[in-house]
Amino acid sequence: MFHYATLPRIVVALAAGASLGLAGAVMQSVLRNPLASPITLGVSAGAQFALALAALAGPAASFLPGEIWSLFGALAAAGLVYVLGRRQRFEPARLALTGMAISLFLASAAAALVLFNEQRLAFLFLWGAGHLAQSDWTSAILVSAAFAASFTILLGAGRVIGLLAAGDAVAGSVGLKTDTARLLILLVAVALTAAVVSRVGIIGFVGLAVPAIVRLCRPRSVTHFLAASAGLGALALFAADALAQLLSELGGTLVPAGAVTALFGAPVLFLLLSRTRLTGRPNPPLRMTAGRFRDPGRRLTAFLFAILVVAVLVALLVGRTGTGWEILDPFGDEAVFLTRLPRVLGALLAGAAVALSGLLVQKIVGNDLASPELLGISGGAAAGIVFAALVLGVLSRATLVVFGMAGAIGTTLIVLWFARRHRDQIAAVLLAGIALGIFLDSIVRIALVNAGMQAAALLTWMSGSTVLVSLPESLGLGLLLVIAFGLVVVCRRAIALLDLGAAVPRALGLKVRATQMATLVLAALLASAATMVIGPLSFVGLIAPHLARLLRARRFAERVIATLLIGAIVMTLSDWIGRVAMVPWQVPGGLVAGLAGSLGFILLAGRERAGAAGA
Amino acid sequence: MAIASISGDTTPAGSPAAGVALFDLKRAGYGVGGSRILAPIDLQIPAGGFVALIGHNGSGKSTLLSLLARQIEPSEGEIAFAGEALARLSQRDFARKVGWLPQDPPLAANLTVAELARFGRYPWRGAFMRHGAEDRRAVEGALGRVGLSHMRERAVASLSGGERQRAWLAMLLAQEPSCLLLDEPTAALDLKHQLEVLQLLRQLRDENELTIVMAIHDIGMALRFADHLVALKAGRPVFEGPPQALVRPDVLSAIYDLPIGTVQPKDGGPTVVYPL
Repeated sequence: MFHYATLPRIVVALAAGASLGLAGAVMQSVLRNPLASPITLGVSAGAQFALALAALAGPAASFLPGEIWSLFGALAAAGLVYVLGRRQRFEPARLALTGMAISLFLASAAAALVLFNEQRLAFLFLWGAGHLAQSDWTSAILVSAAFAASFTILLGAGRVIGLLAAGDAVAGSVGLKTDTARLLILLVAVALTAAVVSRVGIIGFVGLAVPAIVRLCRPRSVTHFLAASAGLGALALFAADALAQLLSELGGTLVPAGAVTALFGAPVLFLLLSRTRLTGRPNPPLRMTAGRFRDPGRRLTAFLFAILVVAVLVALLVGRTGTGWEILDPFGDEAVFLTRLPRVLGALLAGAAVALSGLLVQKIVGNDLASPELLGISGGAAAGIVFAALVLGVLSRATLVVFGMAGAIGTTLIVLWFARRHRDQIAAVLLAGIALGIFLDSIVRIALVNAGMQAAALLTWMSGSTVLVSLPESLGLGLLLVIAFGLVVVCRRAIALLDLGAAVPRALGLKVRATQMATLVLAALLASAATMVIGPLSFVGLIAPHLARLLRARRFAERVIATLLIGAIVMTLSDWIGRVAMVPWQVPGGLVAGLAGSLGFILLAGRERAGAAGA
Repeated sequence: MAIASISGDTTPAGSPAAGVALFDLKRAGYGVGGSRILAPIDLQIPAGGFVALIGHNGSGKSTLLSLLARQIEPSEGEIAFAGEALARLSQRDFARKVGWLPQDPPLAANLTVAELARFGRYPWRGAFMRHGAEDRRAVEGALGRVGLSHMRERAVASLSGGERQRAWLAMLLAQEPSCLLLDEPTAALDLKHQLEVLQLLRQLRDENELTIVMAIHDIGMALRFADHLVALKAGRPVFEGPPQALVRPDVLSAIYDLPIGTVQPKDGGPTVVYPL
């Protein structure tokens, strides 16, 4: 028992922790990005998704071992992030966001796979949360060997990593081929991550938090930085696993170690962040080529409204059965019409609400890359709801909404606190938001691993099924949306001033804090109400304001209206697509929107060059 | 070395409304976490004056301006504005009287010149009140004043440095304040645009009886345009007085810790200050 279970488990914990710490430190060094890590670059999610696919394919994929599939997935995801990031010159915040978008996309896709193949993929829950239980020495040997090999290579390349960390200008001027060197070194880190993920699953926090903690102690050289990160990573995961075992025994519930690292890593990271300032890059000096704005004015509103009407009609009337497409006659078949109505209405309103929430969050944080999904606000709502449903046994949806709102507002307050402390440092705010998101996700995962029967229902909800929405709920959401819209339009002058940061608006007599707080509460209310209907992963809050900007809706009032309409359109169509795409199964609308939205964001991010105008 | 004089009687007799203090600092200082950034200072800013704050990098010029602009609160002492304690004025009342431009104004990526200038009406109309004819007049007047009327629909981010600076000035003027606080308004500009902006400020002072306080690095420009100079060194005032009193090699050398010479050009042009 000791020799075949306990000892290998200890070895795996140490080796996997060291590997992830090392991989994170290397990624952060060569990309010069405090936000880089196996998680934020999409590497872990890529590996996980490939493994899920391979498991599903069964014998067809068995000609290669799982580790190789995992490596392929990790490489594909990392390669995509790298290509997109390069176009933006590896600007830290955008790179992390691209990686997170890809991660969320893959997570949505994996969730879809699980939904349809519950029996065969149920293990993904546990494994996705990072579980270290061992029954033999295979994993221990494999992970240790991968770590030893990578560590040797990377320490040997320490000087090169040091040069890359000093910046391309310096590295290039002493004759280093920066692109090739960076690529090769990242390749080692990605392969190491893939090996770890294939054996123990996703362990959220070690790769992000451990190097961050080490950096705060100001290591003297890159070699020290890498070695210390590996050492601390090993310790962290070992301690987390010991704690996880203890918790599992005490509580009688299964607590995966990966979730524990997040539970404790996030607060530690917060504490450290609150005591330091990240050195960020200054705003790029911009000079846009377009001298004048071409405002689309009313035409855009009319155009979007027309699309929305068409989308609603399609969603209400067009259906699909096993035999083919059918058009519903609303008067002839009232029963079907009346069952569809609340669902379509709910999706539409929730899409609009989360879109508006996204726009408001962007104004508060002062950056167009923020969104309720990425800042963990939707995750906060989800955690609140899951907590209420599983721990307190609350079942009424009205009570769940209250818990969701409490979760969302709590999360938002934490993120806002960071936004204020690190003014103009979106990287720090995002780091906080991402950390919070991983933290909350780990709570949800622990809950789901132990939920048993309820897990499937919760998972359906988490992926954004609109089936359960009732008409009164939709009307309530509609009322909230109307009030919020009215408030935003009336206060538009104050909210628009937030674009100018904090100092100038204050000099103009704006009560900046009060405005931020009020806007924030509104955004959190909208996000949590929408999360009840479409789940936390819809991505509409990020994509809708972005699209509104691309459509040249510039003035604040115009942009608010365009954002609302786009959110409504995207969600209505996503819900409809989810209903008809895989008849007789229904894909949750939130999941469809998440897939489409993250894909859209990835494409948009690829389009925009570094230094493109924000706001 | 000239030590800062305490009272307002060093105000040059030539400046308008001499003797009336707009800002009155009494032992006002600022520090963060035990380290003093600005030592307690007694200073009076005369109404209608054109005051230049000079000094080396990190001498406390920006801190002093931020104190005057109420962006930060003094950690000791007090500041009065037109006879009233600064902390007692409401934020919008203060914004109607004092306009402040930071050293590095935000990007304003999405705004046209006119929209930026219209922000200057916020102190008067707030978030809810409608903009009327008076506001339009103020905005148009401000744009005309800085010479950007023909560019009113241009994107602020597409302007050159000098134009952008003037667009921000238009916002400050639309505020219709009685005092402008400017943190290095010419730092990013070439010689021609520096002159343009400073001449504009001088005109505004002369014609609209604005009080202007600016931090500026270029000592030659400060001597040429300001009528009252305050020199800071390591958070302490080391000189206060008219330009004539400053243009002495010994005074300048003491301020900058650097041997400095001055030359009066034969053609009667402005004095040239140069390090030896």
